[in-house]
Formats: sequence, structure tokens, C-alpha cells
Amino acid sequence: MKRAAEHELKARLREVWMRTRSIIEERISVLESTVSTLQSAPLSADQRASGISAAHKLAGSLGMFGLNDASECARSIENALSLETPDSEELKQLLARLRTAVQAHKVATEA
Amino acid sequence: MGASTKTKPVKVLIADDDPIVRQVVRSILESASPFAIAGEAEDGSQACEMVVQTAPDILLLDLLMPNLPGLETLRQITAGDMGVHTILLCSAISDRQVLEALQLGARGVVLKSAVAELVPALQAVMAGRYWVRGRAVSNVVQIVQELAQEAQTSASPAKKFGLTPRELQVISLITQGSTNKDAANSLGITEETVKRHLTNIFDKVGMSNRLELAVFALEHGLIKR
Repeated sequence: MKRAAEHELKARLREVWMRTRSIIEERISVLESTVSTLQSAPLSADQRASGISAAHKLAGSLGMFGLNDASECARSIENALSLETPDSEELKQLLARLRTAVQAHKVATEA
Repeated sequence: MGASTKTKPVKVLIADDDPIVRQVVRSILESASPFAIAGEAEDGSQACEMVVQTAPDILLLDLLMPNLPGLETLRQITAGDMGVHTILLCSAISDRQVLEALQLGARGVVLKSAVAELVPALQAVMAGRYWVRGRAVSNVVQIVQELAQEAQTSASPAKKFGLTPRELQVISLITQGSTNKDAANSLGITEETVKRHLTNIFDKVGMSNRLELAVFALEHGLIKR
């Protein structure tokens, strides 16, 4: 019975993942653009706010799909972007880890 | 009468600014009897309005939302005595926030990384219990006491000052006598980044130079002696 419930939950999550993966990709693109900007210039208030919002939403949604490490990375990015002077190198590393975890999930889920 | 009460759907209002979260919750609850989705709100203000309009049995409420944050939304809903049971659905929450939420009238807390708990949590709350830390509890006073005690005793010095793991690494190196350049080499970051970390650290702990920081770090257990 418990196994059936787990199977049902997994199927539901997969179905929502397939429907919403483009939103996840968009959020990662926002973070990539934010980090890329930060490497050459300070962020504007709008850029910072959209980066924080994308990271915050990724932290929540990726956790729901069971991507706990990626969710933690997103949370760390959200915290780092909230600092007065974010560390672009640290952000770059976190984002790479997040991207790798999402890619692995995509391969496993969409196969 | 008894049979109709048993089959009456439990109406759930989902309040979260992320459409993905709302879709996941909707998908899980639609497959689980006897739950029915009363509606979806995208921010705290809309959640308050929709509680009045749809009279849900359960409100699943995100902690961080635009317009009106989750705890403030909870405060308003509790003050309005609308007869809805609120469960916080959040990606992260501190014990202090759990405590505050329970004091404001929340009946449970479910982490987004633990969506498998969603249905059991709703069932527990509909049965008159609370759902905290992944389990159903009847004695909320005991939970509140536990949380209050832990909030007082478990806050680490780093958490107290809001220091990140990277900042703690920088503090440790500076306290050992490393120059900015040495610290940058040890951590694989630029000297400029070390300087920025130090500026942030000085702001957070209220110190103004490296010596003061080293003494402060030792006194407050930020590094091992």
C-alpha cells in the first residue's frame, strides 16, 4: 500500500515536471544572466530582485521534485544575492552545481 | 447523516506565488480522496480574500510571498476567525518561525522537500491534531515548549550573527594570521573577494579590524581554539 502511494506520488511529480520544466529552465537562465552581469558590473536593483526571486522559487520547486542538493544551491544563491557585495565566483560554482543536478534529473526523468 | 459527513470533500486553498508549487500540490491532492481544491492564491492579500470567498477547510500557505508575507497573512486570517485550518508549506523554516506560526494559530508545517507528508498532514489536521516536524502531534503545548527551549539553546554563534560557511572559513584563516592573499589562495578565490567577505563580516559582527575580529571569533566560538 505504501509502495503504491510512493509510486503514485512519483508519477504525479514526473507529470508536473514534464509540464513545468520550461519554467525551471527560464529561472536558471535568469540566474545565469544575473551571475554573468555580476562578473563585469554591479547589479541594478531590478536585476538583483529578479535573481533573488528566481533563486527563491527554484529552492522551493526543486525541493518538491526531490532535487535536494540543487534546492540547497538555489537557497545559497538566494542568500548570496541578498548580500551587499555578492561573491560572483561563489555564485558561479553554486549555479554550475545546480545546473548539473537539474540536468541529471532531466536525463533520469525524461528518458 | 454520518455517511454524508464522511464523504464531504475537504476543501483546500493553495496560496503560493510559484505556479509550479501550486501545480504539484494540486496534482497530489486531486488524486487523494477526500480533498478538493477550493482555489489558488498567488500572494498573501489574495489568500485573505479567497479564504472569505471560498471558505476552505484547509489553507496551505507559503511563508514568503509578495504583498503580504505568510506569517502576516496567517495573523490576519486568525484575527478574522474564519474557521480555516492553516498549514504552512515552505522551503525552509526556522524553529523560531515554527513557534511563531503555531502561536499565530497554524495547525501544521510541511516542507516543500517533503511533499509525501502533505496528505498525512492534512488528514492529521482534519482529525484535530497538529503536524510538526514530520509527525502528527496532539499536545501542541509540549511542541511549543520544546521549540522554545531549542530556540534559546541551539542557536550557534555563526547563525546568531548571520555568517555564511564561506565567511566562517575566511574568519578562520584570518585568525590564524593569513594575509588576504594567503586566504584567497587557500579558498581558490580572488583577493578582492576575500576583501568583500571581510567587509561583510565586519558589518555583521560590528568589528573594524582583523585583530578585533580574531579576538571576537575566539570569544564567541566562531572558530575552534
